[in-house]
Amino acid sequence: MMHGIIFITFSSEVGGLPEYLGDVAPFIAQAMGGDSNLKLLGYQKVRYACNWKVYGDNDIFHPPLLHRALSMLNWQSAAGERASCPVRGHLALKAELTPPPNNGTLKDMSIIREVGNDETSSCAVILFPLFVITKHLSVINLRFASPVGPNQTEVNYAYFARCDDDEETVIHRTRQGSNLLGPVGLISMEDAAIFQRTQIGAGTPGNMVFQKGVASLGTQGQEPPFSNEVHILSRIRYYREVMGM
Amino acid sequence: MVETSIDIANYVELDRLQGRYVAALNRNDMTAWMKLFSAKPEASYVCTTREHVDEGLPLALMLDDNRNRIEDRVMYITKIWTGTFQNYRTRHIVQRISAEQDERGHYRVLSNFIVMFTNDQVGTASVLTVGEYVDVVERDDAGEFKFLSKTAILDTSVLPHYSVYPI
Repeated sequence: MMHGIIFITFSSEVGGLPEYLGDVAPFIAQAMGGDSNLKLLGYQKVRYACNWKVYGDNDIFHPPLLHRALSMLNWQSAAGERASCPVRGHLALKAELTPPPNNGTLKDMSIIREVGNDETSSCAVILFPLFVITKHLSVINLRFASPVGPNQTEVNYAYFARCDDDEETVIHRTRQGSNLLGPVGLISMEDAAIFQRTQIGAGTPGNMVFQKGVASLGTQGQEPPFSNEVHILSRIRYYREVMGM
Repeated sequence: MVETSIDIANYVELDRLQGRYVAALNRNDMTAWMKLFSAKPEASYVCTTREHVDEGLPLALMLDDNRNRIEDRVMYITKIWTGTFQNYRTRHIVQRISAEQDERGHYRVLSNFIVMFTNDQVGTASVLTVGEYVDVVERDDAGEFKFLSKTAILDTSVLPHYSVYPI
């Protein structure tokens, strides 16, 4: 168990949790709201018409390209840091996510306001193959995904408040969690839409030979770390290793 | 709550309001959808699941607990998300179960619904969700019935498709 999350394995050969998580371990506590003393607010559950690898193939430079709300709100995140565990294909990210001033786009700005005493404004941990922990603004969210078939993936988004939140903060986390980052969320509905479009595109002829910012397999190019696809390589490499490819 | 029976003319008006609601959603006409809600700041639209109601969990799939959020939802769909999602059309089949008037003069209406959806590009139809509407309806200053609150409680705890439009 680590930061309130119970890890279970059927393997007798796997090592300890610190070894399994590598450099992403410190990010889990931050994504879990600090002390991980959480209570459940509820779920959002949905099936996407895509293979599980499409759901998991999340390049971190996509937000300003895909999410129109970010440009309409003039909302940009500051530089952060990231870590990976190449031997297991895990990834972790952290960034400053200061909400922009109201420019008239939204009538209710509370959807992007941050309240509470959380230490980190934006943090995500992606554990191979499909488990995701996110903390964005006041939303603390665990995403449990599982393949239903080759062309369908079910994702259960679980949302939490901190046990020591006051009533107002619990309400805020509930209101923000409901409308911001799930399958119907202001930001994340577009991710959901793209999963299905990518699945359709994956069936077209040709091979993918270019990855942004990747000079060679496993080598980062000259671009800033948040604008390239290098982190995906460790994930793909580990998948190929597990699959014997 | 003190409940009083309502006359047939009010039943007709309530059904007409629900019919306009269904028509707006079936046409993906979000402006028409929004106009069916009260102009009061406390007007609300909530889409949640039976699982959450039974377990007392406050999170929802859509939680527009004031008029501004209802208007923001229309903006998401028509100005932010447009062009990104694969469009789909719905057919909402609604069956009123009961309608009662409370001591404030508001009407509390319960209805079943089934929502079928057809993806424009795939062309086949499937069930999007089934459930129950819990509505509170008021007569506005112009004498028209409007939703003061509308709560869609989905029996379906797992949506078979991402959702763009309200239920």
